[in-house]
Amino acid sequence: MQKIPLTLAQAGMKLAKPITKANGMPIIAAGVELTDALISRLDGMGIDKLFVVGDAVSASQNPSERVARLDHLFRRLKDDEWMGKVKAFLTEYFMIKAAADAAQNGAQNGTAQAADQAKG
Amino acid sequence: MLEEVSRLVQDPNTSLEAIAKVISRDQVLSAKVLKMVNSPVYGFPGRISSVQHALVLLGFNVIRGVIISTSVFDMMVAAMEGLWEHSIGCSLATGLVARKAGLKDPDEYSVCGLLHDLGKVVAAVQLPELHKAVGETVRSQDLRWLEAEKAVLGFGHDRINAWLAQHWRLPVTIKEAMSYHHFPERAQFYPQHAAAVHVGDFVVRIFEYGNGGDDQAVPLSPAALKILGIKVTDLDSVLDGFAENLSEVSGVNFAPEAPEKAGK
Repeated sequence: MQKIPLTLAQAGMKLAKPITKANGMPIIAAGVELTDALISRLDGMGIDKLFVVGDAVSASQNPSERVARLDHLFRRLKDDEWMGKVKAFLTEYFMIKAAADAAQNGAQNGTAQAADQAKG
Repeated sequence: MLEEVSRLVQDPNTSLEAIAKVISRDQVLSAKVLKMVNSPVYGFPGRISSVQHALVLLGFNVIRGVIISTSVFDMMVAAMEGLWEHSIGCSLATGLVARKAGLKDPDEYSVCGLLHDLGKVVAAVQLPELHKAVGETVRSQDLRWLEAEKAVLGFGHDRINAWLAQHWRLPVTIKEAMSYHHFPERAQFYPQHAAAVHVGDFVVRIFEYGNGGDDQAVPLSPAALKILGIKVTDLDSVLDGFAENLSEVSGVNFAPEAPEKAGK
């Protein structure tokens, strides 16, 4: 899940949280897919932020990519026992995130592997 | 501008209104300050409508740090690709760490994160040849930026930071955070500020958002976690908050303005 400004919203993105008015009244439910018409209506209503499923906007937040990059980032800390523990924590954290994302996306093939790994 | 504001603050008889008035005289600066303080890095996103409001809610130290960051923004972008993103990401992460550790005035910690690598900009501007050599050393010997600085210059950006903070008469909290973010246990008075920035820097490097000069994880100091009273596993909510707010924070910059020659 990712919180994005409306300016970055695009048709096809899926809402992860309902959109509510300032007074808390819900306007659109979670799970709805955005369309161009919907985005311009939201703009008209003064909504400027929303939560969408997955990490559509920036790749650096994609959890499965983070898992893959940890080896590279920690390449000079391999012999450090403490940093090994830190890395293990981060690996598990991003694995679980990747699994949660995969579940939300309806477990499509590529990401489902990450889910399996996280379970095992 | 900064000097005028700083002088006003030293005077115990100055009112908040007077400081707000001086800042508000500069429309461009006010707009930049308001843009920054309304980002989710600080505690009141989208709810601050005036400079005076910002001063009341966030305090003068935060506003002064934001003014500094606006005045060096152009130089920072020109000096090192990705350093602005690294800084604002570190600012976000540092604020989250401070909140997680239950520290008072977390916004002041965010500003420490924002300014923590200014020394790199100064080195790039004042010592362009050596700065380039540092970059080459990072790549050829697979060093971290700080290690390469020590190899090439004999000192790191942490030392430049200490000097800068002194020069601008920044509060000791920010000064120590800037000077000791690599070695928080060495901070004499405010190790919590240095430790929060240390952990914030670690987090932003894990996400590889922006670039502090190299692509390596920094050793996470166990002493820093101890100073903050948190465990590695407490970082999960920090990572959550970081991922959630990053895309919004990433839109915060001072770019649209015409590139002005920023003074010191």
